Amino acid sequence: MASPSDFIHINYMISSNKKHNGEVTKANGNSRYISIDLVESVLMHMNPKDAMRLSTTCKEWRVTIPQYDPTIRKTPWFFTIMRSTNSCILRSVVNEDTSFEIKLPCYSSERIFIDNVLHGWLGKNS
Amino acid sequence: MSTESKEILVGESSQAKPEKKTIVLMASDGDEFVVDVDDITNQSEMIRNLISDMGGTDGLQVPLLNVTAPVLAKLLELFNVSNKNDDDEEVTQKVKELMEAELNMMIDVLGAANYIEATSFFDLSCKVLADKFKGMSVEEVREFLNIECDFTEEELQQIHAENAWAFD
Repeated sequence: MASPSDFIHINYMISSNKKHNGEVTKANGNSRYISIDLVESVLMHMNPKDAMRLSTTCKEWRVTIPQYDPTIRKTPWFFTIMRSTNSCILRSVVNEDTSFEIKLPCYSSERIFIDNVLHGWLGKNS
Repeated sequence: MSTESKEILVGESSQAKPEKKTIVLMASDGDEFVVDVDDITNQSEMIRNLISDMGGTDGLQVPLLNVTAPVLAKLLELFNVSNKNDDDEEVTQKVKELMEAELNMMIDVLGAANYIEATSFFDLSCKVLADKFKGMSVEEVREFLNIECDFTEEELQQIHAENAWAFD
């Protein structure tokens, strides 16, 4: 455990006018509180799949999912139409590892209608 | 700011090196930390903005009500490592070591970094924690952080069913 002398560092002079009583009691406690802001930031630094999985840790964590759930995130998808396979690919523009391939059984190469777009699409013909 | 100090250096003889500007950070328990202005503004957006709002650094004292002295000391120590190294490798390693040795402290340091808007350090530390968590099962994360699962079995099953893409 750090003693008060450890706090004196080359670039930082410390004028201590108090003993660090708080530190001792804190280090003995077992409970670890990680604020939900931090949880959200940490979960956003991993791929959405792991973040979704770990969001089931507890109810509080679950509240953070709109930030990284690719199915409800308000970032447009990059939409590529694959003429050869009658399908299209949706790619996350934020995380390139996240993509879905969607088969379009009634797909017409002549005309495409895209309806009910909630957060917008970026479209590209290939 | 940097051009100003350069002019002084040119104007004076090299022996009369101007004293480095400092400000005082006050931890929640009243302890004062004298820090180099360049070192801290290099990291903290909040303090950078504060100095520009106040129009200078003379006698500036910044009370950090949410940050205890041990946490502030540790944060400044890590800023030092970060300021001394051009790449993030060294500081990432230090944050990792802190996480393994004193998780509570690491989490408090992360909170303090967020509070003073030390954005790049905060992002780097989040990434360290994220890399640790992503290799763990939900049960392991609960145990690691001492969190109790407050979902019922039915609720969990429903979440898994609705988000099958994440749980295969």
